Amino acid sequence: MTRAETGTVTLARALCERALERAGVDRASDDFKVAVDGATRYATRVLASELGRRTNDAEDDDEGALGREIARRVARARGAASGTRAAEACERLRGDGSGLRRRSGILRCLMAISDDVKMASGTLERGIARAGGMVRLELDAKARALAREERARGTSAAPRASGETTSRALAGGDKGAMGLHAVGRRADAYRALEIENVTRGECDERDLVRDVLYACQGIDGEFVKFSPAEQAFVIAPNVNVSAGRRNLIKSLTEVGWLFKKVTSSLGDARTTGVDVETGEGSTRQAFQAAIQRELAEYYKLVAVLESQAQVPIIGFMPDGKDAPAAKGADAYLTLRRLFLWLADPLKTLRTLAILVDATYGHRGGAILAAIHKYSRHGDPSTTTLVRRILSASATPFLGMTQRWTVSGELDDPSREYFVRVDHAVPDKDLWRRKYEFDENMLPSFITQEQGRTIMRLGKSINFLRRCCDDSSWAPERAEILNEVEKAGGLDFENPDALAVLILETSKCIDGIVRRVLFERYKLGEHCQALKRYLLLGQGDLHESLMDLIGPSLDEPANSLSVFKLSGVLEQAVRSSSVQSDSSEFIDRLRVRLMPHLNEEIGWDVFTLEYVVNQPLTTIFTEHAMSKYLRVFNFLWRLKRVEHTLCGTWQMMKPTVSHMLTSEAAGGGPSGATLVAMLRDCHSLRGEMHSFMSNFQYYVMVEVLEVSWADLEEKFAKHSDLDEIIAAHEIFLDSVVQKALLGSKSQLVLQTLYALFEIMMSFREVAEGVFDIAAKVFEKKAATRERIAEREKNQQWGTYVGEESTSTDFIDKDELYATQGTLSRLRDDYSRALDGFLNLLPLQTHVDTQFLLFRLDFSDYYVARGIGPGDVSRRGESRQLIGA
Amino acid sequence: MSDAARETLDVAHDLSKLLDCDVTREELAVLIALVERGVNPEALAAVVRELRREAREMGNA
Repeated sequence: MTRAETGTVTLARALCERALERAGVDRASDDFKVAVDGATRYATRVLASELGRRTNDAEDDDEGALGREIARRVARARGAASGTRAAEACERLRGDGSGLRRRSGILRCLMAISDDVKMASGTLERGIARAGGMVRLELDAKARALAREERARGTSAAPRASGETTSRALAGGDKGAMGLHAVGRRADAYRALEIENVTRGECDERDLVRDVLYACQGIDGEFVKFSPAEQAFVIAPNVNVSAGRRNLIKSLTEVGWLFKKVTSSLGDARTTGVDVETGEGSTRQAFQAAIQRELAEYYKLVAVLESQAQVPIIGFMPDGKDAPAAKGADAYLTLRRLFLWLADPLKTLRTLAILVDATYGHRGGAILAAIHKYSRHGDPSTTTLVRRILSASATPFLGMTQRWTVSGELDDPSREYFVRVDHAVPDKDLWRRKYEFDENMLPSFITQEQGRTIMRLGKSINFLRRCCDDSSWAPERAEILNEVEKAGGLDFENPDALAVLILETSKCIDGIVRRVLFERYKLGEHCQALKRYLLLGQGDLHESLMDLIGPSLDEPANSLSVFKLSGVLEQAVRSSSVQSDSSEFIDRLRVRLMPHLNEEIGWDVFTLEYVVNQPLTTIFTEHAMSKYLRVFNFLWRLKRVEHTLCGTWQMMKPTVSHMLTSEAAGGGPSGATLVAMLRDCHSLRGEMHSFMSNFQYYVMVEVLEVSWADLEEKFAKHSDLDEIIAAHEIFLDSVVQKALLGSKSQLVLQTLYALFEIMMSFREVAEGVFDIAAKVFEKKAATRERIAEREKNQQWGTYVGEESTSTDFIDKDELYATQGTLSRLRDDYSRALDGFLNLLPLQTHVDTQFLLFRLDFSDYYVARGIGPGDVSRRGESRQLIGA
Repeated sequence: MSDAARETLDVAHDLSKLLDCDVTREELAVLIALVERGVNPEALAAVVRELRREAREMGNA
């Protein structure tokens, strides 16, 4: 036995003696000596055993923490004042003056004894699983085993020792007889369960807490690891964790999963689902920054929790008398506490993850639209969070909006904005094709209408700058920006500022566009000129043109020369009142020949055109000009038919025809036929003329002038270019529709053209009839002259065999052939007119009904069974039948 | 016994009273000595507890 061991034995013996003395055993009795011997042997064995010698040096350093723990316990058991005293005492023991080497050992020993005392009295609170808990339990078991051994050897003076008392028995409450209250028993039960768990080898909660905290940062811990297969954090299979904790861990690690998800969206294009080529765009960057800011809070919390997990919680539930829970392991951060701590960040992260999911693969305005959808959440805290993120993310987008609306600049390399520019489109198509509206990129907090307006504003600025060489925009810009500043600056939370921006800019820029177009580029005058030149508004020009150009147009198309025709046009201009027009407009009027086939004649290919330059081509596009040409061609044809009918009339003037009629009347049956034919010609021409003049009236007045009045009204009212263009297009469309040139009127137009053809050919037939009559007249005159001459020579006026009556002067074959042609023409005309009048009511445009009414004003056609009959009267009769 | 040692013992005794350890000064002195010798404090506490129980049983007997 070494000296040291001897010392230990001596001390142990002293200890045993005192213990027995205190228990009231008589020092002088034999029992006492035996008991002391036994106890000493037992004590030395325990102390000398492996367990007893094992000192936990690592924990010697933890003196401060131990001191605090003691202070806390005392404070809980006896109040704050005692706690302070205990803390002071610990402090003094820790001081160097105490001369002790293992100060923490003393403290630890005292604490353990205190625990034991309390447990024995049943007031020990639940939980002893401190860091050294395992060791203690082992010790307990060992010590108890040794005690049993001593007793078995019969050296013990207390053979009926209840050393078998297990913790389970305690939990069962067999100390209830000692008058201890239930809380104590329950505490014992808890402790028992705890011990059971520990002895079953379950994982320490502190380790689990640590691992969960790791998981919350997306890192794999010792027991809790991320499983890519399950896409979740899972507890390693070989770790023993109770079902309750498993559940808790499962719900806690959702935070980690969400965190991983959210942080992954902050990565590069691969994880955000955006093409790498065009880049992520500033909106996504802003979104990511906003998410980072939100995560900073979370990082802070996790850091705090991590540090808390290291040290026991001090001052936790200060008056422990009525709340005996929370001691031992509970003093540290538990999974349950963690659950409470992480409840808020869990909600935040969930929202963030939803946003990250919603914005996946989107860019620019689409991101904002996706976020905006979630900003109307019913939960105010979620709403605030989403709006905060949205507000931050929208900043670059709103900046873009401001630059675009105020200065027409679009700096959008990643195609984030809802206005797309196509640099390949030349300036002449700037208004129509260069800029495109991308609905997907329009965030939902900007309405469709606002978006269109914003696009129009920027476009207007570019239009002024590039097409109109106008740069009078700069001073107004500052004013608008001032207004916006006054309204609180452009921000998502401040939609008024956006409205102000749009309103002010549109007031300004639309005014400028209007001024430039109407005053500098004379839009109004050009429209007027188009109407006068191409829509035959200036009648005398076309009348004289028809006169002058008519003969050349009868020639085949391929023999015509544009230069010659241009000369004729100039002549016509000079001979009409148009010559007083400014040359700015007249010079734009040109002759154009359409591409032609071999058999076509000049009439088929001749057309006038009006050339407009930039920037008016934005309004008078090629498409619009082609519509003008179509209308012109139609009107020109109408004019030509009218012209022909007028020519026929010149031939059939009443004086001429009356003379011819009287001459022909005396000529027997052939003469009567000729007279009837002449009358037919007159009535037919009258019908045709009535039709033409009504139709012309309809087209020129009811179609053109009405639409024109509409257009002028709109030009005066509308300010922005889009509306002006639309008004002009509506004007053209309505003209085309009402003049039966629309695609739906193809059939009726064909019958109309057939009517025109018949009217044109009527001239020849009428000429034939009048030729015959004229020939008769001439022959009669010659005969009369001859008779007069002979009479002068005192001869017989007529000889036998000479033609004496008009019948004899009429070539019968020619007469009947012409009669046949005339009656055929008449039939053709009736048929064509019937077809036309029947088709007319089928037109959808309401104005054509008026045309029908006008054409058959006196029920002439109804009476003759041509056309659909009186539509209104038929309607009435139908109503009567219905009644 | 030096003053310093006595003082330390006083302080430790105070502490033990605050902790309801129910140890006398003499016992405490022995305990401190044992701990100073390098005995595991937890084991020591276990011994104390066992001794007390034995003693109580003997006393009752």
